[in-house]
Amino acid sequence: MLKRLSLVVMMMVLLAALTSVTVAQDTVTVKLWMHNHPPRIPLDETLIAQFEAENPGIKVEFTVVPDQEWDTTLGTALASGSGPDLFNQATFAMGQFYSQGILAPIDAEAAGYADAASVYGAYEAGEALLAGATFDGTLYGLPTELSAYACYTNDALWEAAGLDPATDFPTTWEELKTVAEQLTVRDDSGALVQRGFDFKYDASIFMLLIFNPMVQQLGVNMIDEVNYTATINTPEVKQVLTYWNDWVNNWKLGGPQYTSSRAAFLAGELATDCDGGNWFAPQAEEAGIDYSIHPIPVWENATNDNGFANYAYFFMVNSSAAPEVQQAAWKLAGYLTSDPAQYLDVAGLFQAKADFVASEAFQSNTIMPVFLHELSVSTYHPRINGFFEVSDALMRARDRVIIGGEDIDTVLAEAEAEVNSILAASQGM
Amino acid sequence: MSNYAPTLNPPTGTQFQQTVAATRWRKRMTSLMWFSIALVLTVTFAFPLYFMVISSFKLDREVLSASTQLIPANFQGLTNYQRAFDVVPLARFFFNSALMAVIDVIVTVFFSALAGYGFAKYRFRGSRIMFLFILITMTVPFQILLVPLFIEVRSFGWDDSYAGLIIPGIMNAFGVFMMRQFAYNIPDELLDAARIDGASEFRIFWRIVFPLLAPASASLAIIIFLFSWNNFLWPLIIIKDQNLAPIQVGITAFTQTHSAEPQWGVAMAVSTLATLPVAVLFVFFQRYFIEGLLMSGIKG
Amino acid sequence: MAAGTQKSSLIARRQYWGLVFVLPTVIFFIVFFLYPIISGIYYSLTDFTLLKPPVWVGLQNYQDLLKDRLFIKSISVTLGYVAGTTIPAWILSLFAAVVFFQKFRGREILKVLFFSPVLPSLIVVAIVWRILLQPGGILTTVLRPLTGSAEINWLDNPTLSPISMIIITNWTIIPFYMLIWLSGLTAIPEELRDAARVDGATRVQSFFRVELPLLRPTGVFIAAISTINAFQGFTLQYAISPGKGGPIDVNTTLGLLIWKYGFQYYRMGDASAVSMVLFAMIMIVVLIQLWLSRSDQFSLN
Repeated sequence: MLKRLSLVVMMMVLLAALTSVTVAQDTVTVKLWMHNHPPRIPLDETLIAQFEAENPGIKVEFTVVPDQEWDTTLGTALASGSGPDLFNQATFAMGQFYSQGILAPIDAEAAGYADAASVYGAYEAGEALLAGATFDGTLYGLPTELSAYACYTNDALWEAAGLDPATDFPTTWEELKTVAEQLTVRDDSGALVQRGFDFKYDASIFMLLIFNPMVQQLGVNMIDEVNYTATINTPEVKQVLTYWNDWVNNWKLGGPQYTSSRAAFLAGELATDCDGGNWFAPQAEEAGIDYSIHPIPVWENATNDNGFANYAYFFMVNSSAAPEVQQAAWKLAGYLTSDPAQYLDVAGLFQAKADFVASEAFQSNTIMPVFLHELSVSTYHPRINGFFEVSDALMRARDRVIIGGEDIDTVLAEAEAEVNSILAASQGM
Repeated sequence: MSNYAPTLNPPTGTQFQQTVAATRWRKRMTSLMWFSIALVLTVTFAFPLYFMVISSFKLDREVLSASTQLIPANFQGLTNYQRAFDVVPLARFFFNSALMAVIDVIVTVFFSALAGYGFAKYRFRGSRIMFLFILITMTVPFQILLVPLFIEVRSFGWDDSYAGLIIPGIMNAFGVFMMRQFAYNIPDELLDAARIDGASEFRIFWRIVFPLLAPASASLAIIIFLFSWNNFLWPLIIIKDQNLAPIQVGITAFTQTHSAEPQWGVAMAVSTLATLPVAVLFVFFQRYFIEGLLMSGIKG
Repeated sequence: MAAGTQKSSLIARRQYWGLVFVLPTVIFFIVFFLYPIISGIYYSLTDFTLLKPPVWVGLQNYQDLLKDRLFIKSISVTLGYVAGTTIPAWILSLFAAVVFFQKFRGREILKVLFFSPVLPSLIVVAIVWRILLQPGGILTTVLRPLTGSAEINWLDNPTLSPISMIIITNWTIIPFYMLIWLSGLTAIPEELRDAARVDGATRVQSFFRVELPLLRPTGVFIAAISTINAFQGFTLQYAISPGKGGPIDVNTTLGLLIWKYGFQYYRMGDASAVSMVLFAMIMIVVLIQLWLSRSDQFSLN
């Protein structure tokens, strides 16, 4: 690390010396918006300063935009022409930006690659991992953070139940139920004191991040992001919803009324939690929990072995920026994604460059290979306009069944109609 | 005792004493009955806030415990308060709230007095229609304005700024209405005398009228402070940057069901702090506080 | 005489100062009230997502609302919330006012403490009640002798959850309405009460015959403001109902729906249409209030 840093400093001095002679050409200003992730900001700032020193013709205007309502802030700024040239965009509302025609395809050469194909090659499982920023076969971004969920086990609670997480961790949802029962502790009145495993119910996006992937394992994707249609009233969806319903109402292993899974896991009240990314590990450590990490289970009758949905943040370029600004923006994006080791180390963000993944540092990491595996077998959540509205409608359907006790077939038929009408209305948004 | 029957003759001697004793006894019993009912009501209604304050001195897990510890078993002192400042930028939240409330109060009181006086004591074209217009704004709830006001303020480039937070709520129709009522009662002779003495109209307002409106201003100031300090919906919509958030928005971090970090002691400490300024005003200016509330007829 | 004319002409010449004094306020309300109201009506007739300019759709948004399940549900949710927070609050606050109108020792201090729920913001109220309403929390424990259950899902049970919102709201508003009743009671001349007493009326009779009719303006006023406030219900539902309006939308009031459509789904046109519907409903209440109090000269307003 130190070597590399001193190298960079030397280059900076050299370049500075060179450029001070060549007289400042017309400088290009790149407006960069990043969302607020405190650990990464000092790192961004350092790298941007280095980049500016190395590229005297490029000035970077760096703005940190608060997370909340990033999508509208950015969306309206872009629509009114006052937006950034380069921005770090989450995949959730990406469909919106793509359909608005705001995204510029990657300028691979400017970003430091031979061509677009070699960008895919430069990333581990590039086809799968970069799919989040690929539309119609064209790549629109470079990843700053790739995320997938895996299962965290509280090893102390597992051992207390006479189980070894390393060997006994279930590979199927059916087995998970059996194991969860062994891990569940109830008091005299039958109330749950400790849950073996539970789903994450509290925010609707988990319907697309967790529930839909469980349906995908059976070969059906509820949301078609290309044609904007929904397929919900199917036996596959019914199988998954029935399992969730049984989990809450018949097996009584958990439910939305209890503390949310992540908080419960950190509090030591939940033995297994399957909705944490690699960013969850420091939290578990801080909570003093001995944990290990395992792949997401699949169905016995699964046709796909995907885990839960991938999601990511990508550097994207504003298509209405001037060509030389776009070029400079891609150059900056390439530069800022050239040090995956530091970003994982300092900020906990995973940028799956193939050479980094092959490195000793990554391979010896105790948890990252599991997440990489999950990322490469899973697919991205649907990238649609109206993402949150569709999520809410799916959550409504789930709750009508597991809380309201309504008939599952009726609910699924109505949900399909509702989601289809939301999709139809939001397609042109 | 209850078999006392009224007679036409005035009661005498022991009979009289018995009557007095009976009345006194009955009075005492009724008074005791009312006291008991009032006590039950008060305990029911005051308990949640009592709970908030004592819980701010408890351990996190004890806050949630089902057993109602009326006095903290493990008194935590100000630990939770100190932790609160570590968890969220609390000082910043308080500064933002105070800034918003103080500006709201000053601007509202001044311009309400000015306009109320203008409506009460001058005759000019359009006076009636303008007053009616301001009166009508009082009947329209803020939620109706929410979306278009947001779009408007955004088009000014004021979203996520102090300007956007403060300016759209900086005046209050109720204040104008209230000040007009009070300004009516100022004798015209007083104003005319000042005019003869050569005072300018603004000087008359500032030197004579405004001081006379002081008691009304005090009630209005307190009520505007209460609204402003407890305002939630507008700041929620317009502020995204945590550094600009007032306390009521800042503490939503603790409101979500099933939210991640169950630091209940801290949540109670923050809640107590957020209520403190209003409680202090209430204790020290009870009369103005209640008058203002009664006149406004709204609980934010 | 000369001085008189001079004086009156001086005063006449200075009448325009009134305009100068009211103008800042009037301009403020034109910019931040009249303009948004009118543009709100306009937006309700458009498709508008903030990302593109509004597109005129006529009454389409209103027609869509008629088929909108969430909107229809939120109408019934709102009406339920209104019913639950007006009638009980009206009766209970009147009862409390009667209690605190009596003379007994410690009245003032009890009254001040009783009044305390008025002080905290609704967000603070939400945080505190969220703890009190934990499934195995304090309220469950206190009611255990009656209910027999060790766990009650106050917030997650779709039947119970709206009732919890109603209980909390009543807790915050009853002390305030009590105060209004009390000032009404205090304003009734003592002679009227005494006169009734002389007529041989019992306390209860005198209350219903003499005091309550005189409190009519106060009663109408409280009924009106509590209804208007209830129609706007938002903060509590936003802050403590699971998933902001859940479970299964049982706490999605019209106020919450405006927020959700406008600021979650960015359907500004639909949100504006819902606002207009809410506006109409509240205007009906205001008109009823005006009609009921048309003969009340001394209403607190």
